[in-house]
Amino acid sequence: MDLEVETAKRDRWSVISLRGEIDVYTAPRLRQALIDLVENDEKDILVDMTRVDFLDSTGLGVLVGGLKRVKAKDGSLEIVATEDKILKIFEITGLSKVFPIHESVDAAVSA
Amino acid sequence: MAENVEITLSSRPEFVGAVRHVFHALGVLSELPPGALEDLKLAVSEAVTNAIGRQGETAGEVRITASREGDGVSVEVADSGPAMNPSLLEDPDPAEPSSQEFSFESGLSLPLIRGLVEDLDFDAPGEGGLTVRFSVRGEPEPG
Repeated sequence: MDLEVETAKRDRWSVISLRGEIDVYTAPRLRQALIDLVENDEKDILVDMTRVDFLDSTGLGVLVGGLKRVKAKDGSLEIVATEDKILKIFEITGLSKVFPIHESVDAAVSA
Repeated sequence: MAENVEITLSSRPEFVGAVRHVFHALGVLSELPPGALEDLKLAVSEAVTNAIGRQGETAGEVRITASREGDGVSVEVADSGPAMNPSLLEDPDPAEPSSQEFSFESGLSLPLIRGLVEDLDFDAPGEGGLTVRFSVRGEPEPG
């Protein structure tokens, strides 16, 4: 029921590494991390969700909001995810057509 | 032995994770396969989150009941929030990302619930409150 958020730099990407559950209670932490990065002119963001155990529409909404922020600065927001239960959520909502989704941070950085 | 759940909780976001844990246990007891178990937890979490959000700053409550029925679990989530615009509960077009980040009306929650459950039904009386009912069945996993 908690969410750990860590941010690091990989080449041109700012990588937000998440661990735990993203729901209405914890999503504000992700939202703030995205806001902080954009306010510091970091406009190319990877969100690593490989250690996320739960994601709901609140979390998706935060990601959509983050995408809008980086798009306003000609940036990009892409996802790293491998768990079927996470990928399924992007598929059901149609957001798999909106966010590029990678299997690893290395794959995203080298893409 | 029947597996039943009855929960009444304050409409606070802090409680949503605890509800998922309860429904994880119910899903295991109901012998749901892993995929259906995750669908159940997500659908309940969505419905409870919506119920909390509908009540905003008011000190409302959310009432959750669930029981094992056949090869699945039937769930009912009820709140005492404001009257609901029934048009918002209609089956929408494929979801488009919304400018709203935290809103039942954002277009993400309802398509998500619809994609996860069966027998989805709403009761939105004009005087207020919303009851959401659905079931998750344990269909055999592929392979």
